[in-house]
Amino acid sequence: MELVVAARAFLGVCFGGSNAVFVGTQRRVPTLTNSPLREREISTSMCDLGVPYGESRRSTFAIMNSLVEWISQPWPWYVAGPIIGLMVPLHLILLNRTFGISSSFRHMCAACVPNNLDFLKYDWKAESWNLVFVVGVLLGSFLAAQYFASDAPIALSEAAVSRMHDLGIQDLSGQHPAELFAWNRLGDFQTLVMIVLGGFLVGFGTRYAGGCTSGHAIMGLSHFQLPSLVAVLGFFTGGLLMSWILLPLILQ
Amino acid sequence: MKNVIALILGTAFGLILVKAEVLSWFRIQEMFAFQSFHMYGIIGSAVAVGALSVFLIRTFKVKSLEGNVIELADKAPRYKSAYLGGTLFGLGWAMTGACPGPMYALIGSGTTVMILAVVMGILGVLAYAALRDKLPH
Repeated sequence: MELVVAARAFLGVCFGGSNAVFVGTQRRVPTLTNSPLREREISTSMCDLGVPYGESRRSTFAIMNSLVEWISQPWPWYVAGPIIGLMVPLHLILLNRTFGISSSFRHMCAACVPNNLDFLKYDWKAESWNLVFVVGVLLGSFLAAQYFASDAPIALSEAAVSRMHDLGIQDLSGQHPAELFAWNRLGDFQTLVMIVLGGFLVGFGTRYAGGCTSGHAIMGLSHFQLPSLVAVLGFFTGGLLMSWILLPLILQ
Repeated sequence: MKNVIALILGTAFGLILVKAEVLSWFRIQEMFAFQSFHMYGIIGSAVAVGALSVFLIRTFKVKSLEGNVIELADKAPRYKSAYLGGTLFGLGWAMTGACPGPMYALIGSGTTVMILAVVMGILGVLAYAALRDKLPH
């Protein structure tokens, strides 16, 4: 509502400023001889819209608040997907590199683990932008959780909710199951397997396949690479096997 | 300059991963159970936008910021490793509920136990590096 009022006031200034002042003058217009015209126009047009004078400055905050509120809503797929897709040309044009994140595991391995393996003997510093990208992901997700958080639980489909309950997961309030992914649960068999073995397979599998969801599924499919399509079929072979057969056993 | 750009792109990507719930274990399970269109919509529309961009970049011979015409190298035609490695990654993806990007985003947004998953991922790379010659590619 506030946004609508502010937007109409803004449009009034852009397209019908003088008229707004005139209409406003006929009503309860405060004398604003010292204030700049622009502000006077905004405030009088706000009067016209039934907003008491004095709200004009606050309306700027209202716009900011509405913007924050808008960003804080969970984003639908048709907003998020295309922006993720834009990572492809942005990487190519701005960085002259292909989009991919799992390489960061390799760079960190080459940088931190002393070894004598051919696969890790390369100039990882030339790819350090990839690690800076990771720092950005950490920062962006921190900001999202800190300033743009929404309290609503993830809007899972009803079928997914009942399946979660069947799997014995009761707490669906967070982004990840709090009863499985927490430091104090590392003593549990399920948590240990899912994080330790799961993390290991992600690192091993992405290097063996030569990419992950970003490098193969998004970047690779974007330029019609057959190996990427084969890799995505692999992702789903493993994912379906885990989700349908192995995970219910692990969570038992 | 490159680092500044990478930082900005990364920040935007991290924000999206959280706000579109891509980093959620629940969403990944829902995807593998074919119980929602959400994740398919995201990946599908991302590929559509990516493919259109690549097409335009190639058609108009767009130059990168560095000034050279952008050329995309083909991925190495190793299908066994793509499938087998992909399958191993898929197992890990469905277990942790996160591929590498979301792993970082989970850490940033407070599920810090995923640091352990990243450390294990790095050890996974080390294991691959050690076994590479013995694996079918």
